[in-house]
Amino acid sequence: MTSVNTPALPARAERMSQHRRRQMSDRAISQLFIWPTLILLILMNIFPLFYSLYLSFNDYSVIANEPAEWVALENYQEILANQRSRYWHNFIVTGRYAVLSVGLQIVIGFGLAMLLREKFRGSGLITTLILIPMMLSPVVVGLFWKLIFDPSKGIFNYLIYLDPRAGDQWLSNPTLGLWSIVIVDVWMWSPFVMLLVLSGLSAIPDYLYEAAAIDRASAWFQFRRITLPQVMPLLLIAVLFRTIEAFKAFDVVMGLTGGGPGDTTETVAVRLYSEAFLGKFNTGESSALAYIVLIIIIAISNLYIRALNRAREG
Amino acid sequence: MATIELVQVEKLFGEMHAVKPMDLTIHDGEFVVLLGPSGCGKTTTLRMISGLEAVTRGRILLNGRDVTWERPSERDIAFVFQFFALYSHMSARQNIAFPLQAQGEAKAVITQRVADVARLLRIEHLLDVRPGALSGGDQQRVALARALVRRPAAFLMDEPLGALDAEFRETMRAEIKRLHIDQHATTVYVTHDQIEAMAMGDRIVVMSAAEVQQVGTPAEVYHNPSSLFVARFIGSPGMNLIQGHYVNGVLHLPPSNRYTVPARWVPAIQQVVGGEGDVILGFRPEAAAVVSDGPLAAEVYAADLHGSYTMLHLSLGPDEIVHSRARRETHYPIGTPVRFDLNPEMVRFFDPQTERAIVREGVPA
Amino acid sequence: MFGLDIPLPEFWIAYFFVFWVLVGASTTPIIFRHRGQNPLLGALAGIVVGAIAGVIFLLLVVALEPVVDLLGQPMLGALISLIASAAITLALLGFARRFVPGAARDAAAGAAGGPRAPVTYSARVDKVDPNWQSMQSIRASVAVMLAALTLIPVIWMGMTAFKSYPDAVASPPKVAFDPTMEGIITLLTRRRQMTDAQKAEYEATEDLNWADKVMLKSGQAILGQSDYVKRLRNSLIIASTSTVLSVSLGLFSAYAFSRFPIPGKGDLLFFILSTRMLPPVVVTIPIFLMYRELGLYDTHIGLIALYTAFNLSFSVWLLKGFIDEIPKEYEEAALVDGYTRMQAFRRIVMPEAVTGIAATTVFCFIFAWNEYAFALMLTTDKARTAPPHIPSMIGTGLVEWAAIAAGSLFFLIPVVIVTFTLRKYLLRGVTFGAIRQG
Repeated sequence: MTSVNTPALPARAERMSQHRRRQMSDRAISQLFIWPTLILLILMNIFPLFYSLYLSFNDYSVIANEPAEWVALENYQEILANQRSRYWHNFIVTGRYAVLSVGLQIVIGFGLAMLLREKFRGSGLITTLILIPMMLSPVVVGLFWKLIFDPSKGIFNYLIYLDPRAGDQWLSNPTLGLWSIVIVDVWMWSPFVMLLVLSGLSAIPDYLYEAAAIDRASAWFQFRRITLPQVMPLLLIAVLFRTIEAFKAFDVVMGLTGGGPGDTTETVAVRLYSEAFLGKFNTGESSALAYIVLIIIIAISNLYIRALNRAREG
Repeated sequence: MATIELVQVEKLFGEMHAVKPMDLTIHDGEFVVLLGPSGCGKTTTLRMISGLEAVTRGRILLNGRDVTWERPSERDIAFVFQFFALYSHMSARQNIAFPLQAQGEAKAVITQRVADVARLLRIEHLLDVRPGALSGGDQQRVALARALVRRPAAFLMDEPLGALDAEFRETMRAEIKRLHIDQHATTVYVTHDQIEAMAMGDRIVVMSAAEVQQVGTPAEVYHNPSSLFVARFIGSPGMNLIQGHYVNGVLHLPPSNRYTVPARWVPAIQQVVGGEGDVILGFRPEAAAVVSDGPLAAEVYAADLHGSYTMLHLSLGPDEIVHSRARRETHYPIGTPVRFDLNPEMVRFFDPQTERAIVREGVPA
Repeated sequence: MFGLDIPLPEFWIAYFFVFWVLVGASTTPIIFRHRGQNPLLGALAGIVVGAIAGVIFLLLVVALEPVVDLLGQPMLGALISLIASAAITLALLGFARRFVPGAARDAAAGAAGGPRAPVTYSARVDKVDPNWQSMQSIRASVAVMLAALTLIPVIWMGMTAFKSYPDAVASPPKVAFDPTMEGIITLLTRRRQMTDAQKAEYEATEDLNWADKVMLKSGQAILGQSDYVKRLRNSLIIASTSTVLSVSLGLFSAYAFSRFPIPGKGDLLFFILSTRMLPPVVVTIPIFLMYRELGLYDTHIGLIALYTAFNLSFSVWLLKGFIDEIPKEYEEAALVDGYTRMQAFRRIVMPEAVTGIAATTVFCFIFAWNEYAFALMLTTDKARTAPPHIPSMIGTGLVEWAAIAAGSLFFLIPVVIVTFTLRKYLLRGVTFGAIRQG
């Protein structure tokens, strides 16, 4: 601003007041700054959300040249009652996948964080290297692991079996199919848990451990009474994030198994995709399914947030 | 209870001395204060005694036993931290019980001892509260309780009042002092606050620039500072120090004052500077009194009323201000020329070269 | 390897060997230094000891196998035998340390029991203990080995990208191979398979560049660019445009949320965050319908708008965290000096928030760059990005893994570089700025 250097005070005040008339009020600026964001979010998130709700009460297919027909709760009835066993299977798959992969990620991520907690030469580099998988494109990761899991051309069986040819067909075995997705998910996301736990560990002040050392607490006692409770909120955040992600699991599954063999690895998100876009284009019913998934995610988030608040208050 | 001995204990951080080789013996039941400005090595010394910091060279003895390389947990000492170091996820009761639980004490014993120590510190009503909900003073009481509950051989306290508001500080100072008198436990207390040190310590160890400057009772370090640093650091304001030129029993002070050195100081001064040389004159504000026929001339620079007394700032020259403590009702307009005299019992002399006090027989350094 | 039937694939034999040598080489010098011996000698001894430990470990795995076979659970048995062997080997290593001779102690070196070299750094007494330091070295060795394990798939992908077609699908997989650019060229070009006659004729033409020559070996002539190049270009355009948009809109909103009193601020912010928690598939159906009506299906603008919206919640939250850290007084001083709000925003806030803006930009870019679900469902050809394209390459007849690996590699390299440059902000990025690294 150059006008600051005006010599005579009255002139400057004059100028300033003119200036003020031209410049916007804070209120106007805040409106101007916020509305574009809100409009875009309403357009791309809120409107579709309500549209989706409307569709879920209709019998409609995007490829059929028929107008939507109001069927009230029929779509929900179809999913929750008539075709329950088929859809239930998708939820079971998603649930098993979520529990297995989140559980393993917590254990492995926590272990990694404990290993990397005390700095050593090169620990920063090692930490970053371990974090790489987390940043990669899930579909590319899934796809590439497909080659790695291949029983004859992939390296996975060569790494874990003495006779790889007699080893398991990971992706085409109904039981191991889910496990292979879990393995890839754990490989990708354990670093995420590690990162969170590491930040939790670094936030524990040194003097707590100094006090504990002086109070003659053993290493195990310190871990149980200080480390674990202090890191608990972050662990819960990690579980929350990972569980929500598990319900959204789509990319890795599509890259790796595409839901197969059969429908043994068909998670809810994959099922939703195939209902909505493949073959039938069953728009109404898939919208209802999407809403059920949404409600489950909200419910889980609420449960976790409550647990988190309890952990913070004790 | 315990004696603590430091033998040529030294700590280096890289090339830099955090603590230069120091010897110190802390007697059983004594309250010793390590005093000095920040970065003087007092906290490092305390942490070396506790084992939270490994010594570079030297030995630490606890009750005559060499504990230099023993872990903190093996030393039977308690430590009170500046920021309390309370476990935020545990209630006050759990915090206090922690050291006993860590040692696997029986439940009944723990309950009993926590109750005892809570009564002692008057925090019984706070036992189920978490540290976050406590005031600074109460947090420090809980931290003290956690230290006391173990009945350790010695207490180490690292600026325990530093994080408290002024009002709590005074109360807690008295409480800690009282606790020490009741428990009679060997205590090493670190502070940068000389008032705290004077009020609490049986002995004060004044440290500066990684070195021990003086070890003595509060009265000794106040009246007979061994160096210019101690003279300036102790007291508020510190000792008045004026550089002058000594010639045959007379000290020439700016601007043109002549101060006749008390006869019993002459031999000691002459031993240091010979017949003529620079000498620093030191005296406490209460040793200077404005009298009409005083030997020294000055001009009133400012006068502050401190409630029970008035502090006069007397200017001897452009950069030479000395403080004199006068009666409350004393009033001089600024610029008044005055004369003042010094109590001959309370003057001290320093060698500007070495910055050490000039020592006279009968006045210990 | 030793004429023994070791129940471990060769890879793990080598892996554990490296591990034990690492443990030996990093722990033995500690005890040598503690006893006043030359640590270099210790490192040498450590390598030897580590190798011996490796042999002992493998022997123990063999020896324990029949014992744990009684369990009848091969996986569990293998795990138990590994852990037990590791424990015994470690115990032996610990025992061996007792025989490292202590050098005569220099009187000045301090009290007995302490380390030989003076401790001239800040450390707790129990942390200068050689046992503690050895434990830390072992922990570091484990971390290094685990990091190596983590990177195997990424490294394997990098290797596959430079393999020739037969090498890439060789069974057993080839670790040693002749690197070739075949995969990369295959990825980027459309080619034609030639008969021998055509090949001879083609070979005779003058203007063959190096890529043509590489492909000639497998009898193919390059015709032009492949679809992948187009997809990658789409990815780049869509990701960078949407990033610029979401970061700039996000910056404005974040500033407003950080500085102005806005009615219902908390609720609005929570609403913004919750949009990010929506599973993409939930909103894709209506967006698909909407786009079809508006003619935005399979267009760059459509995807850009969608990615911008989805990144906005993230960029608002992350940037708000960064702007909250800039003291309000900076702008207030500027406002008092006669700057307008807009000028203060441009000249004070933006330069101060530049690292935050950079971090947010990169995270938004990575999201848009990696996004798969929307791109799969809302594009077919014109605006299709690379992520949905790469899996579809499998469908085109031959499974050209070298090309797929090359495609993935191109796709991953920027992300890996970014991970390294952004490691300070990763935590903030993945938790929406909710958690900051100290």
